[in-house]
Amino acid sequence: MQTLIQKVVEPLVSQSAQVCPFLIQKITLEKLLSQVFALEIADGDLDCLANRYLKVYVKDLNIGWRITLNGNHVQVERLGGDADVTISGNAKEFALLVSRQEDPDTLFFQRRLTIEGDTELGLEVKNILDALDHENLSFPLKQLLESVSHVSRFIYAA
Amino acid sequence: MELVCPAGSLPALKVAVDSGADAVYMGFKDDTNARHFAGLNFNDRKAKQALDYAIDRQVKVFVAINTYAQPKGWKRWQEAVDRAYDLGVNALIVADMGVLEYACNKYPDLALHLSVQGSATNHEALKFYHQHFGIRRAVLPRVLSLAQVKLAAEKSPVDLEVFGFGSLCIMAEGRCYLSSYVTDESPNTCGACSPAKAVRWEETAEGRESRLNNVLIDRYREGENAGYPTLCKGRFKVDDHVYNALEEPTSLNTLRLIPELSAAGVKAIKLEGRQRSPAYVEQIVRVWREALDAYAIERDNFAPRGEWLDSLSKVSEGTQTTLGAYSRPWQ
Amino acid sequence: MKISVGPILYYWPKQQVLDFYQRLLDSPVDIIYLGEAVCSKRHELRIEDWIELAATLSESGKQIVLTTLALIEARSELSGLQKICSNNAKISVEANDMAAVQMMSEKKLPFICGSSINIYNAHTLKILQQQGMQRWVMPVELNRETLRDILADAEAMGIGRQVETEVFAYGKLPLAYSARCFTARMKNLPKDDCRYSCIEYPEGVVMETQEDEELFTLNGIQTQSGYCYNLLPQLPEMIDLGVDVVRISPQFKGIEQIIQQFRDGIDQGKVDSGLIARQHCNGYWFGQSGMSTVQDI
Repeated sequence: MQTLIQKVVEPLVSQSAQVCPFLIQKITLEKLLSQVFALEIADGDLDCLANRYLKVYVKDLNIGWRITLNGNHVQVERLGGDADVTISGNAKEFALLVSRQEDPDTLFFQRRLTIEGDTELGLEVKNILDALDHENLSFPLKQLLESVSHVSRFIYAA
Repeated sequence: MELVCPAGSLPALKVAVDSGADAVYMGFKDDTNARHFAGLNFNDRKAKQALDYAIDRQVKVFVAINTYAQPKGWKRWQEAVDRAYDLGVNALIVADMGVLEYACNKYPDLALHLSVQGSATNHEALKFYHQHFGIRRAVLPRVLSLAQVKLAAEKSPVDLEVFGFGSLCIMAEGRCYLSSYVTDESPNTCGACSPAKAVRWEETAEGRESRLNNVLIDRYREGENAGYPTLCKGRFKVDDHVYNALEEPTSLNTLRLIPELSAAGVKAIKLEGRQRSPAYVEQIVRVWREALDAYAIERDNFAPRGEWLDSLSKVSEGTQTTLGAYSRPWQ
Repeated sequence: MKISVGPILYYWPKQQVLDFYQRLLDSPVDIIYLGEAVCSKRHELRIEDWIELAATLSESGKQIVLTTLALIEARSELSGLQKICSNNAKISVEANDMAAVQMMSEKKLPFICGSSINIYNAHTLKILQQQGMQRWVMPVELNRETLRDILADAEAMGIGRQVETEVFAYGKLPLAYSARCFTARMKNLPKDDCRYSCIEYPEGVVMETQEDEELFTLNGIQTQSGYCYNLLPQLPEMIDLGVDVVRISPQFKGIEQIIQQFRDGIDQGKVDSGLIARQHCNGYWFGQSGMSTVQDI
């Protein structure tokens, strides 16, 4: 079952992500991230990303983005181009990370996640992500996280 | 024994409380605490929420103000003590004598714990802190053997707390300057050991390299588990051999010493890891809660369960654990 | 400004130790610290021997101070400490752990605090001064700015002239103390059966990075800097700041020459910075990483 899903679902996601025009990815992600981090942006916690780029690269899906803070908005750019820090790993690791099923340091020690570049910026982003209170999220966002959690549990149950 | 759990963020604090902590410890967002990392710790609003959440559920809150105050920042340490008092925390965890004196003079009713950074490894040192600052509890450095913990507990004028699980300092805490020798920050001065600003990881032809302020700490071959480039856990060359000259990347785990520690009269177990994620906190607190509850029932028949050990090993540095200095052969 | 020679941090054969102190008597040092500060298992000289040696040396007119262990864990270490703190020869004591501070202050005896007692501000300085501390050695990781501020605050608190300030100015820096013995570890021996391996390494064991950079020096349970700390060129600045004593940490060979350089520096009020070797460091003094070398301007 698991391999079946990995054989079928992952390429599907990968292909659709690559087919999905960048502009749509950009608009969706920017809206989502600005909403999720609204409190953190207001508190200045995300100022570390002002004029600096975080690159997130999902290796097995060959997709990724560069993320920065522009004023009060999260801005998402194409992969090509410089970044101050790059976090890379497979889709599974990111899903486990976002849904808080796995500890990022553990993933890092096991070399399932890689941080290259400005380590302090990378760890700061990690800490901000950790500090995000899921209870403050809007209902649809909570549901989204729940489904990431369910889907990843289902696909990657091991 | 009281279970004292780490909280580097509000979500971590909530899962610690929900998973069975008796007390949680946290720090403010500045260099007054020994986990002064970017993006970590509590501003005033979050600290208030944290207090409300924990107190509502009858869980105690300790605030760590456990770096050494230097003249230029003295006010910051004073204000941290004032803020913690105003928040209504259950105890302060302090290392610096100047800060201890300030807190004990200004807030005589506020419970003070001597931080592990205070580096008291014997009952004579504990007596000093008790006589002069009225500390009620001390956290012992992770350099003592079980027999030495027993000796300290037997003669200590105050309650003792020991480390149960987490990242392992092999040097006497509060008296280690390896980090400032290579970077310009240490736990004592800045609340940072091997600070992230000085860390670089690079994938090279020879493997993944970790550097601290350009000094090569380790090189990992394909498939090897990696560690954070803490100076005491790198691989270095001594007498032409390359090995972990000081210590391997490993975590302390004393689950199987619960009966001995309890018999020695240790009053609290501290879990390390304010810099780790809520997922880590949830896993370790749950295991330790179950273990302490099991010990309360099983007593002499207590033995750590395989699934507990697996669960703890998984989140450990180097995915391995040790009894550390508690066990003589390790030393 | 006075010159002190710190305790021998390594493990030398008894005769070498005795010869070393005999030679020191003829050198222009003012203060001699002696005794075991690192490992209680080292027994070439036992505590009684150190006390006796201290008593003999004190007849020379130089100030003699008995030092104590930095890491005190075992019952036997506490009773050894008690012997030193209540020595009949009335030799002064350097406390390197709060246990020694406690014992000396309980006896209402004066004492000196070594660099492993954490004095990072004048409030702490005052607390210890009130307990009988007469001199403090600045923690090695602190810099000149912090020292200036501490001394200014101490002055404002009215204790400025009641405590002497000593700075670790030459030698491998003591950086950390562990439960584990790294010398035994390198020999694949358990600490409880270390076979006193330290005696084979009169200046410790060099620990290099995989790129051949000298990083630390292993000395039993103590970790020292790889490079030698050297504040010789900073003598005039230290005198200005109000430092009373500069400490030179013993090395196996050539200490007389170093003492002479410091003596000349103090007497002449300036130092030729050409005397600084390549593998010396001074970063801590300038508020940088300890291992770095700053060219003072």
